[in-house]
Amino acid sequence: MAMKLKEPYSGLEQEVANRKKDLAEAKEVVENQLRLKTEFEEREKDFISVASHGLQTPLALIRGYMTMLVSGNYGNVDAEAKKYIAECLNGTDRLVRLVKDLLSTSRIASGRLKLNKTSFDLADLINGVIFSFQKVAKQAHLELSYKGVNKILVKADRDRTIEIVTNLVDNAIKYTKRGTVVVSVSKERSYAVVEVVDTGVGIKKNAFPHVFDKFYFSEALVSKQQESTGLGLYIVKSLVEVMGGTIRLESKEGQGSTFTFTLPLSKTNV
Amino acid sequence: MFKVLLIEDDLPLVRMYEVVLKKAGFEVVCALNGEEGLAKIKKDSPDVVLLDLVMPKKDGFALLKELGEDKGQARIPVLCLSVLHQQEDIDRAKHLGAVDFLIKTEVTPDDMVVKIRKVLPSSN
Repeated sequence: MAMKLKEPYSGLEQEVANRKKDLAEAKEVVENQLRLKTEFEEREKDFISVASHGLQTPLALIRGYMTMLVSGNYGNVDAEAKKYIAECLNGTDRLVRLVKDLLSTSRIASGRLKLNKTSFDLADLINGVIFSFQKVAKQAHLELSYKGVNKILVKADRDRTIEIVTNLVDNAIKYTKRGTVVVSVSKERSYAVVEVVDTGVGIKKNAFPHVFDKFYFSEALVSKQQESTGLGLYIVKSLVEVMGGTIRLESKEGQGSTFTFTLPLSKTNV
Repeated sequence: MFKVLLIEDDLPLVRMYEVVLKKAGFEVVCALNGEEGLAKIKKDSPDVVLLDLVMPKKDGFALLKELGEDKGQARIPVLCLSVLHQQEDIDRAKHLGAVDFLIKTEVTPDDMVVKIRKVLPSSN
């Protein structure tokens, strides 16, 4: 009887030893994968830092010297030369914007975007952005205004929200030859709903699926392409979504566009 | 004549800022990294510091922290001059004691001089 018990017992020991070995191997695989993931993330972080610094430092140098030349304080520069230097400055500014947008895009894509969510008055924020664009709107002979509630508290990253509203208002002004750009805010269930409505050139229906893609440029005004990085709306959509909102577009070619985005209301609204 | 200590590791930028600052009537002392910068703050007693943030051998944030912790060091206004433009970097620098934060790709040389003059006593 003692012999009969011994045989199955020794088989069980081997089974346990095999299972332990399998577990140890599986653990090693998972640890390797985690280590590779961390290394990849660190390399990407380094790439973002190095690319940012490496690209922007020479741009600062070029911009600095161009500004010095055009000021006339560092030697005589005639009017024609000043014009060409101004074009160089425009080009440099476009590059600076592109680098910043690329960095934002990279941070968003790698999940490294840091949000600082606080409760703030969205109506007040939008009015601030509108105020900053009034001079540009006036120069473009457009009427830029705010319509909506006097105060509405949302829970979001304030700086990113400024970026969203700024991008949308900037686009609306760029693509509107005459008429109005109106920003409005209302409440819908537990969200603030912001609409940016313009009477601009509108967007073709077949372009709708691509409007929020990276490097989308509107066909409508090809010359405006020079002022756009093609990343603005991609960044806007990404920021809205990462803060718990949604964004959609309605547009009619030749009549104008409406960009509508939502942000969660702050609980202190209730 | 006010003395500006420029702490910046990019030599072409150092040359450009030197031209601008000297033309504006400042005496300019340069350091190429944070370690050298700290040493020159003690040795040269500048009236104001222009500080790059991303540098080898002690970055600008570390320098600001050390300055803030050195109770024996008289407070010298420090203006950060950087390509970093994220709000968290600006907040961090100001929390560590920077009196202003200038973004290199946005501030013009003339603006930089105006910002420096703003933090200096008006009597000199």
